[in-house]
Amino acid sequence: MANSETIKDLFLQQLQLHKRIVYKICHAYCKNKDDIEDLAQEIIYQLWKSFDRYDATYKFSTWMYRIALNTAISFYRSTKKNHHHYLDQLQVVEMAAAGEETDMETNLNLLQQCISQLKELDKALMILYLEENSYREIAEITGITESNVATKISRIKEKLKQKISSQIDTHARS
Amino acid sequence: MQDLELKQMWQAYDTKLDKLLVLNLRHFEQLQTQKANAKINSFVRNQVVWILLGVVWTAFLGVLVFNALHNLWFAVSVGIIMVFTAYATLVYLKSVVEIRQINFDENITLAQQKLSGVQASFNQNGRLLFLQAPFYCTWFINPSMYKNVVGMCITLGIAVLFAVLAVWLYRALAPKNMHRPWVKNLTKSLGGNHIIAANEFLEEIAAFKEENLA
Repeated sequence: MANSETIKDLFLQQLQLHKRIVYKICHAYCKNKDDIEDLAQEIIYQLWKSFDRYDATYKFSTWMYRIALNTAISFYRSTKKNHHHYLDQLQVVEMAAAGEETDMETNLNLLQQCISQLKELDKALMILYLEENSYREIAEITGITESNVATKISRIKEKLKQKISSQIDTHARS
Repeated sequence: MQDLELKQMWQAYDTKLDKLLVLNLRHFEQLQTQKANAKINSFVRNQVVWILLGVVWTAFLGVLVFNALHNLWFAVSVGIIMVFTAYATLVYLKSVVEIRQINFDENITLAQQKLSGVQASFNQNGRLLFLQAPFYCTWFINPSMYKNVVGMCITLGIAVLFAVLAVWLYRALAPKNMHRPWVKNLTKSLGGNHIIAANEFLEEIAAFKEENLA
């Protein structure tokens, strides 16, 4: 019993350490608040369900990205037609109200918006790249070769840069 | 715009989340239990009900066949329908088990490919059921109808027509024909939206995995 409590504590500790990953993925794959909450709950549930298979010789974050992204992609594909299943009395992700928006935050919103328009798998690649994962780690998580990761990321980056630049221009002109 | 700027923008995210994000895990136990219950409920609602209906229908047809062995047309027709139903139920059960066995800690393309593959395979199941259609036109034939040659010809003609139509539909609705608009529309009209989406995603995954250095 004490052992299972220790495992749970260890899991919650790791989850707290990497909570930003959960939120960023939820935010990239869902638009509205209810979906974000629903997906966050689903990811945490899936992580906990798989935690006994986690091999501690590998980085926790790599394992977490795999489960979180797989859950998010499947969730994204099913919520296009399904209704919410979230347990509204258990809000797990809470964002405190932000103050005034700085230029950096405006740019961040723009970047998030452009990322959210990418295809599901490209979105996963871009999140992993921006999160400073190495090409090798990204290849491991996505299941494609390192050279393919490099080619794809370079193309997606170009697309994103063009989109963001044109939006910044439009914004500046208006 | 430089690569560095993209990463700087993204790093602003970390700063924002560090300040504002709260992961509320006070009710973790409750979340665990309620999620598990919700999953079981939706599993029972969506899959077990279909499997049970399949089993009950197969058993019902089995009883009918057993009690009508003296009536050749009825026994053979209903027997074949029973075999189709039993096979469809088994394939559905196999798909449900396969979906439950997919590990989300596998790499993304592999896990998503497995998931979409199983979803797309429901198509095989659905189109196979078309093949039982002609036997719904033969179960009521009995020896007393043999005397009415015209009536028999019409009945058998309808059965043959259904057989041709069923085989044609079975071949036309194959996954390799999903790119044809009418096949797509017909699959959609038969409630196969998720099958189309799964097939499209499988193609997307294949394209994603493809090395393209040009």
